Amino acid sequence: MTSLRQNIDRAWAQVQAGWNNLVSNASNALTRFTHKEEEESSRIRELVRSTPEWGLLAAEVHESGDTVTVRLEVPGMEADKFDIEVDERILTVSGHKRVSHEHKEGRYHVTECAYGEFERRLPLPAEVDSKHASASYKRGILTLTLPKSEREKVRRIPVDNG
Amino acid sequence: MALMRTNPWSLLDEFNREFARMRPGFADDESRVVGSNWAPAVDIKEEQDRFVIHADIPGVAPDDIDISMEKGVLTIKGERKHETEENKEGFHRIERSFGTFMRRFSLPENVDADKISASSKDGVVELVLPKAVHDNQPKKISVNNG
Repeated sequence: MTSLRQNIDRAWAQVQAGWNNLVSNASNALTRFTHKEEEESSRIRELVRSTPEWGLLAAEVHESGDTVTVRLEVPGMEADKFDIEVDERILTVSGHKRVSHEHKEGRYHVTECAYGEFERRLPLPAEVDSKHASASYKRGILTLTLPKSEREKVRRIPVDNG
Repeated sequence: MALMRTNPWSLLDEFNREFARMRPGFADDESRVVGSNWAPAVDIKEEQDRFVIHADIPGVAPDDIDISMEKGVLTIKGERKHETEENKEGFHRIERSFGTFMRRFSLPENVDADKISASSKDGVVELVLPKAVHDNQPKKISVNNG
């Protein structure tokens, strides 16, 4: 009886740990997608209305000695349609993910992908020199390379072994 | 009394759905297979003569995506590897999932498995599944009014 109880407690603890991990991972990546009415054909409007208003834009922020690298998973965008801003230590990536593939009439059985306007803000671990930042978009991943501002760069001071 | 127009639980439902999608173990849908690390979101559309599936699979090389069809079940699986081998210590935020992914769909029998085609653009994989043309359509026999 006690061992059964222990097992249940253990299983429950695992579920909780899994859930907490899940929430901390996913809740940050969960981004609101606003559906705009103005655009496109009535068929696309109808499709967009049926899509979720939340999508996952999973990010990754990496810091090295002189660079901050940010990767964001945003599939189905056009490279020149991103709006990227750095203000102090906040990076803002926004854009409009459009339906680009809707040509023929048909019926949607499943709509899980999110479309619409989105904005994702990410705190940066260091002050960056946004004038020298660069961005690339490949296979649905937006990669930003942000050089750190001069005073944030790690300087190694060699010790003279004289 | 004011009428409540929106369903207060719909937001929660959407959160749940998104969480479920991130971790296949929590999913309520058989199409996400336990044992894989993540599952892509999909749109499935039926047109008059074909099915079209769009799957969000960012950051995976086309060579690492495996699509197969067996006994009416379509399987999309593969693996996401990290772009570089960066120093693990430098990460301030990791929301992305890496490793294997898989989704399975039971398709209506009238799909012509030999004619399925797939293409990939900007992290979105498009699958086109033409419906099979059967020759065994019920024949209409007209009664001669002679």
